[in-house]
Amino acid sequence: MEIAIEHSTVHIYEHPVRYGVQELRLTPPNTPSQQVLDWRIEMPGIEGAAKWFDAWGNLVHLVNQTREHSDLEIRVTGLVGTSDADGIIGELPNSPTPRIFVRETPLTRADRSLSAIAASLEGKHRDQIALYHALMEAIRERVEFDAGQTDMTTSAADALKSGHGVCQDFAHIFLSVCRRLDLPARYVTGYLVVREGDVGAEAQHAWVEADVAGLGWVGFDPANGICPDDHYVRLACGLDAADAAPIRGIRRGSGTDTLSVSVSVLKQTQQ
Amino acid sequence: MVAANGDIRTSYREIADWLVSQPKGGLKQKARDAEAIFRRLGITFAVYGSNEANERLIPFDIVPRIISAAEWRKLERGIEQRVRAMNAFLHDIYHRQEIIRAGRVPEALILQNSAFCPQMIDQDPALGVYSHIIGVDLVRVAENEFYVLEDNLRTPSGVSYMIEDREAMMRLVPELFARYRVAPVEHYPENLRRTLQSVAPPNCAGDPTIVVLTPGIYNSAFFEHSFLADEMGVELCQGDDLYVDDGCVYMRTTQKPKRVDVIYRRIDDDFLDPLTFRPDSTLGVPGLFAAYRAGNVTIVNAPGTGIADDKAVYTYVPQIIEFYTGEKPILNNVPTYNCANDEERNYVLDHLEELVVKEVHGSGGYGMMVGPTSTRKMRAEFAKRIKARPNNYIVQPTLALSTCPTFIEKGIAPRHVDLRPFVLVGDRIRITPGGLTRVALKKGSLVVNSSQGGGTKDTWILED
Amino acid sequence: MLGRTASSLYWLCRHMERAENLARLLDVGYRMSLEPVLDGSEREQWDSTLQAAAMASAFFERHDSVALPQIRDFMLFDETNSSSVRSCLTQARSNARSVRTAITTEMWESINTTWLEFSRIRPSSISVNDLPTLLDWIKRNTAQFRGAMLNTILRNDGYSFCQLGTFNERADNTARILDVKYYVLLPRNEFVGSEFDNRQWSMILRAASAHRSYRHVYRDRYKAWNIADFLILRSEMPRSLAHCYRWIDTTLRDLENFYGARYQCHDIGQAIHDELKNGDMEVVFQKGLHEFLGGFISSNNALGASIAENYNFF
Repeated sequence: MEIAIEHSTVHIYEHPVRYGVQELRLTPPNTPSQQVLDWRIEMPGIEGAAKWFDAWGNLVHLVNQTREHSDLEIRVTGLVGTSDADGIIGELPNSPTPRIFVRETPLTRADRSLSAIAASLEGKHRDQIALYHALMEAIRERVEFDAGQTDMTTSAADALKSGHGVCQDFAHIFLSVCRRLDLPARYVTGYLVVREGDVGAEAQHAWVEADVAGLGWVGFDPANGICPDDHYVRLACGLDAADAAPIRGIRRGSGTDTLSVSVSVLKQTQQ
Repeated sequence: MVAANGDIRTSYREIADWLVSQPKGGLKQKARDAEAIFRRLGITFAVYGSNEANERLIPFDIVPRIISAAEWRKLERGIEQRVRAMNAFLHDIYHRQEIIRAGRVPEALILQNSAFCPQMIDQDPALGVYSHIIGVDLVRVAENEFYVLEDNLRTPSGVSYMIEDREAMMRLVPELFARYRVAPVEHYPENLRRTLQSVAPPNCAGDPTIVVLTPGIYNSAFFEHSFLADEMGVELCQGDDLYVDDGCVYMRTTQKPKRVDVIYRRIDDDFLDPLTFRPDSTLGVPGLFAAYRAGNVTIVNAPGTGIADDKAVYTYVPQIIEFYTGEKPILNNVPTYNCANDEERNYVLDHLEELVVKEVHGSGGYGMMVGPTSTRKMRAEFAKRIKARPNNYIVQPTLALSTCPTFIEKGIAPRHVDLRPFVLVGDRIRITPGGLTRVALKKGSLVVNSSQGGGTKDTWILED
Repeated sequence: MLGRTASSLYWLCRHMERAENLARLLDVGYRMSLEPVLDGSEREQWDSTLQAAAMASAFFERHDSVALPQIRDFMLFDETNSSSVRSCLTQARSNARSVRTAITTEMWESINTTWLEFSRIRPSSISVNDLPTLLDWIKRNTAQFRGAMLNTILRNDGYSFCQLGTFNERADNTARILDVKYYVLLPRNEFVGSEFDNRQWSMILRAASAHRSYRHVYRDRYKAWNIADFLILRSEMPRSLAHCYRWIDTTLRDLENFYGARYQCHDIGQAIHDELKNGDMEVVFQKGLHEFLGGFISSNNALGASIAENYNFF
């Protein structure tokens, strides 16, 4: 399948900004299930951007603006060819040892309830894949997909307690339980062609990858209860949502910043 | 200064003669002169949590601490071995983690440690050096027997006192320098500059531009930041003075922006770059870490070196040295009890009066209990804390620290001292013959931290 | 040089200059308070002192009445008053500390010692009679700082920013002193000023340390016209606007040569200097002294802002 993506992030500033700097994790890698056919980031300062690979092997752009400005648009357009590989990613270049991804972070720290889920799964499954599927089910039984109840800073423990969450919260709970079981798992950002019944239509999507002996990294989408297929375009990975954030920025200037994001992810009809 | 048999150690004999020859009140006058010198030069430090005078002098003792050439040579070898091993360890745990695979240190100790900096994974600092500026805290318990208390691989301070204490001594007691051959310490800033130059990023053309990055005048060590920048002849910058453009770091000057190649930062990791570390930090430079990863600037010391001087990792340093050097450690570690182990914890709880308890993430003598001087209430409190979070504490025996003659109100009396020599690692390892001797001014006290009423002494390494 | 270093040098000298001017203003106010109150009430006298120090509104936000002890505490010791002598010295020392390596040991020791000694003074221990001694001490110490600066600093860009701070501040002070009392300087028909006028004139001159030098220059009794001329156009008078701008213009030229670049601040400084250099009291009075001074104060501020912008202060 070919997927066309248009993703625009617009900041409107109350007062002019003299200097701004952004870190973008907005470039999809080639994987066994996706080939990047065309990809473009347009924004002021992108010509001079420093490009580097972070600890997880994501390509990062560091972009800055040194001229005074009152708004900023980050516009990403691209075309990605995808196939269904049962979620299997394997090893990507520049990836560190998977064991690093057992590291707990503030957003994925396990509390008693998360530990209880971990305990209920331990030793009951014939293999890791089965365990991860059972974990996705366990999360979907306890948490309702519901935008607006949680935010960027909600931890796995708080999301589980509230019983509501968005794809980020589902992913954090998954990671928290895996790490409690000493199984490496990581947060993944990307785009999704929404089918009927899918959640995650808003803006971007997030899911996880877990390390499976013999297969390497395998994707799981706890919000939808499936392994990513050819409807998914993978961007970047990290320890949690804060770590893998597609855009992080800092500006010099006071006042408010009004943000609007529009994402369109469309299956290309064959010409 | 007094040997086991009651004789004055040879190295101190001249000092003893000199002390005896001082007129009545002469030492007191010299102590006052020293204070006036330091006060005028503005060598002060800020004390956290004291609301009145927020700038104080660290008390300076005019009786020097003397270390023989032979003892120093052994120390030097031990320190060099240690800093090599620690840099190899840092490179390993941020790359292939062989030491974990080999089962020599527990995986969780590293991977779950808050001092481990995952952002550093796969980063290759210039010359492979992570910790360039190190201050090893040592105590001497007997002739040729030193123990390492802490490695201080992040941003050790105190080197300005090593140099200024010497300056003051040369002004106050020039006659004593005539009686000893004391190794000079004044080359330190030049060696620091050379070290920093040697670790400029490979893509830096020409003479690298070095800066010292300070959190600002309210930082307790601001004097030192300013002193070192001045001695090296480089700019002293605050976060606001620097910015990132097209992946490189620049200084804002009165003219055109100037590219910066090496940053000797005296800001903690957390505050270095709000884009990568604490987002609320206003002390750092947004985008600095990206410029570092892109190979356009060197950060000294590298972020994430704290994992190697973590108090919980400390216990494994002897294994770390053996793993990377294939040699036995030259300097001792203080034996440390592991409270997570039931047997050891029970021993600790039964013997708290004899032991020193340190919080794993505490510093500056806070969150610490010295058994022999503790009260029953303190011991009960610490016992409760150890039981609740055994991994949060390390426990060590009280060492019979060496003492050094020290001038106090009533005259000369022995006081406990430690020693922090300073090591520079770049194209080569440079150890300045000297260091910061801290002295516990309270009788019997083992706590030498300046924030807890400790003072400093000039440290004399004798030449053969 | 870092933009922040230039900024700190500029503000270090501005704050030292301001501390000195405050001491002088308070000294004049104190003198007037000792003399019998004439037509103007005591309040009016203090009002003008506070206005000349640009702290009248801040004072009356905190105090309902005026009396020497409150004024003294507010102008000298009040930490909540960002222009008090204490605040000036603290800010000057902070600036000096942050650029410790860009100033000489003599400058540092001078400001550090002044700050330390001033910090030790307990306001309650200063009686009314002690005030002149303390004010002299402030003037002596700030003068000593300036002497240390002039005698020891390298004549490079750092020196230029020090001079700009000093003269930008001094010009502001002199203009304010004149503007607060501009009405007593307006030319009138009386051949001889009243005793009231004489006292007002003397106060203005003292506030600019110009009461002695006036006689040397004019060899005449106080006359409104001469006083205005002396403090505005006579460049040999070191606190006159013309003198300040002769230095500012020269210093800006030095910077232009040093860096090989000319900016907006150079044009502003030169324009103000030209106006003063070619100035004529006749024209000033015709345009209106108050209007002239108001215009000068805002141009002088604009110059400060422009220097900050052009040399990347922040």
